[in-house]
Amino acid sequence: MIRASAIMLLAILFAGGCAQSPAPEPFPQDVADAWVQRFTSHDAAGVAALYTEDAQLLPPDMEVVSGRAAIQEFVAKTNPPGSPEFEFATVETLVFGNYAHRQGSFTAKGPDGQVVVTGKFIELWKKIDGKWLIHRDMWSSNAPPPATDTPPDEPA
Amino acid sequence: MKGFQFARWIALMTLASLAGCESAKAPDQFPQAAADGWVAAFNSGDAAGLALMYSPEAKILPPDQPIVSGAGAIEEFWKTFNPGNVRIEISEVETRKLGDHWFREGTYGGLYPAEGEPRVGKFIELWTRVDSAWLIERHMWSPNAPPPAEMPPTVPVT
Repeated sequence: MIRASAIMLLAILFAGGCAQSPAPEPFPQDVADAWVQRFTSHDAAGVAALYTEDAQLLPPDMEVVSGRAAIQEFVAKTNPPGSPEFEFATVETLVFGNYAHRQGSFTAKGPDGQVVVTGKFIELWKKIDGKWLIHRDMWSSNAPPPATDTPPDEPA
Repeated sequence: MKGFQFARWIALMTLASLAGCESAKAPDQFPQAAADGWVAAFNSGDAAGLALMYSPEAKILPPDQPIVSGAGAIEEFWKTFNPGNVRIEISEVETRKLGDHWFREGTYGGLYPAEGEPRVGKFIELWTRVDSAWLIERHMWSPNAPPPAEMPPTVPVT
């Protein structure tokens, strides 16, 4: 009887000590959707608010942009009203506790609806005080820019 | 005697349980040897060796080019990208363990034989473990300035 009780106790202890991590929560697509809504409405402050305080943008052909204030300035400068219309798509997401990875694609269209640039992005998200924010954001186009003057790549 | 056997059984159960837990965890150290191997392969123009350092599901996201997927395409990409005359140096590296993956970011300098200054850029990688090997699952980079039109493509990194 004592042995059976000991075995049961040990089984419980083992199960608890080796418990699997809880299933990851879903990727915060609602925040990603909010980013798109703010970006396409040229709300640079609103976009910047969806990044961590020490977030970094890693834009192509430019140096890293660090910090929320610099990100706001960058977005305001590169995505003013009248910029090409961007569409974004999520390709894959992975959630690891307080971090998440997202890969996606983007397409920009000019005023006549013609595609002017396509590209891809990777983001590292971080959950701070229960709120999901973008911590790293890197993107690039799928083709070299044409020789003529064209709008720069946009953050994804 | 029975008490001794029972105690021994309990000890074995405990060890087995701990071993089972340990095997489910990723090691706490970034697989630096694998990353160093990537740089060595790149600097020697070993495209086949580079391709072996990517997982079967790996994707390379190069600047100004579409995504490259699959071992054959990845090997071909590196063969074209660096036939062996470019050297790369890595700095300012930061790593984060994300569950059973590693995330790494940093800066690189690509040294071209005809250029006095390295082309500097930044990179991010997502690493995964396949069996006992740590391999790159996602790899993205970009230069900090556009390359002059007459120069070869920008340099990648790991």
